[in-house]
Amino acid sequence: MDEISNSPLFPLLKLPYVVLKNVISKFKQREILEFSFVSKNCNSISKSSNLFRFEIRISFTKDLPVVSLTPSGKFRVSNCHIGEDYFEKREIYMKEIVDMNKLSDDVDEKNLQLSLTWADYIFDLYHLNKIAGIYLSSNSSPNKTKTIVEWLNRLISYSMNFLFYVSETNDGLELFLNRLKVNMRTLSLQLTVVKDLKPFIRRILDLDRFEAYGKSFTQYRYMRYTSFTEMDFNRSIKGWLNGNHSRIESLCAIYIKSDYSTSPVSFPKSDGIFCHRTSK
Amino acid sequence: MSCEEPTTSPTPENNITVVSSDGKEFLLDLKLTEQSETLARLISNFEYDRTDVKKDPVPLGNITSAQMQKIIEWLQHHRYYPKWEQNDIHYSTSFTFETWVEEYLNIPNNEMFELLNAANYLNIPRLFSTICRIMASRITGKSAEQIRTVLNIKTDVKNDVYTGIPIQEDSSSSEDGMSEISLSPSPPPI
Repeated sequence: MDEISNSPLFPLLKLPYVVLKNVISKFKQREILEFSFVSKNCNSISKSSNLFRFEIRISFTKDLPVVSLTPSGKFRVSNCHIGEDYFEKREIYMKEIVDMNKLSDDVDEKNLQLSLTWADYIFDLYHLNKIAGIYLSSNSSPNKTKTIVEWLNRLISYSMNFLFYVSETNDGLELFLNRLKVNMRTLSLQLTVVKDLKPFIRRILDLDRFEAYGKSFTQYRYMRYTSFTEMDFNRSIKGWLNGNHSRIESLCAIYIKSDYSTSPVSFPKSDGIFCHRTSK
Repeated sequence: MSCEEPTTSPTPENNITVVSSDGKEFLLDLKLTEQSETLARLISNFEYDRTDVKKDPVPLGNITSAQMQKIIEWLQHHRYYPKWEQNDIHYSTSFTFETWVEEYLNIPNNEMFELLNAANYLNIPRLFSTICRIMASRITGKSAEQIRTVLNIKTDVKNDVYTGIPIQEDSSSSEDGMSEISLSPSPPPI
């Protein structure tokens, strides 16, 4: 063993490119990031390796970003998260590529700029072409919301699928949707709302409102813990059957009830309807 | 996963001779060569699997006799393993290895480096992938600075990412520190 521990170090970068690429493809998410910081050469090698297997989710709900990189289709809360602690370690690196003098003196603003730079770095490294999830809090300041939307608008050229998780909806979401230039046809929206925001939910469900923007949702609108009642649903569906929302040909609604009170594991009981409107 | 294999001695009908870069001959059972895509394709192209075809020794100019010995040990152990199948790109890399593999790869880095190149040259995917995973597992949980040390990489970043302190370029940690490793083995004696 002494002989092995005293053996020369492994000269990774002297491997033929195909072999090197294979070794790097076996790195886990965090190690790929660390490897990219080792040197500029390692950074460019990482970028040219096949890292497409990860899905990215970024949360901007707190002051500092949390990035989740998981193998495609294997998202778990416990999977690889690059959290605030890691971001703080990397802040010095961010200072290398951001002119700190041009940043605002405001701490929140500075944090946001650094967060977006950090997110850009990760997007660039992993050659991501879609965002599996953006977590936002619509309680954020309007300035923060505007900055994030502008950043997202820059990414739209290669972002194919958006899924937004928005918590505690209020005017922030309105501002967000108004400024976002993403094609609504590629947009999925997941809302986590509180009960006293019922009027807002009704407006979200007003499909004509989105048609007024020249866009329409064709993906999903998924709401958790809403107070959207049977009466609301009946009213929407009656309106649709009577000819409202003429561009919608089919409607599928699934009711899921989870009982969290008896078990930490939920067993959804689902029931659903599917309607297809025929032209008169 | 482990497979107990019956011992079979190669006969002229079911084996080929390979010659390492230093001129040593190895008798290889055709069954073993199935694990090497390079050898399997060569055998198929020259129809060495037919008993009526004269089999010339196969020169392996990039493999030394020590490497060949090590590779044959691997091929023997995995003789009855199912054919290797590449995981899809979405797999999660596993860093757990069977005990035999850990012992087999408990070798100095220079030997590991050469074995990885040999596995690539002979296209033995199970061995190649295993060494790649072993190498990846060595940097798990390590910072950029620690990776530099483990993999002997000279930085070209001006400041340390953690401390912001300019990094002193240390000649002892340069990428040329492995000059004793022979990337191109000497040609076989004529």
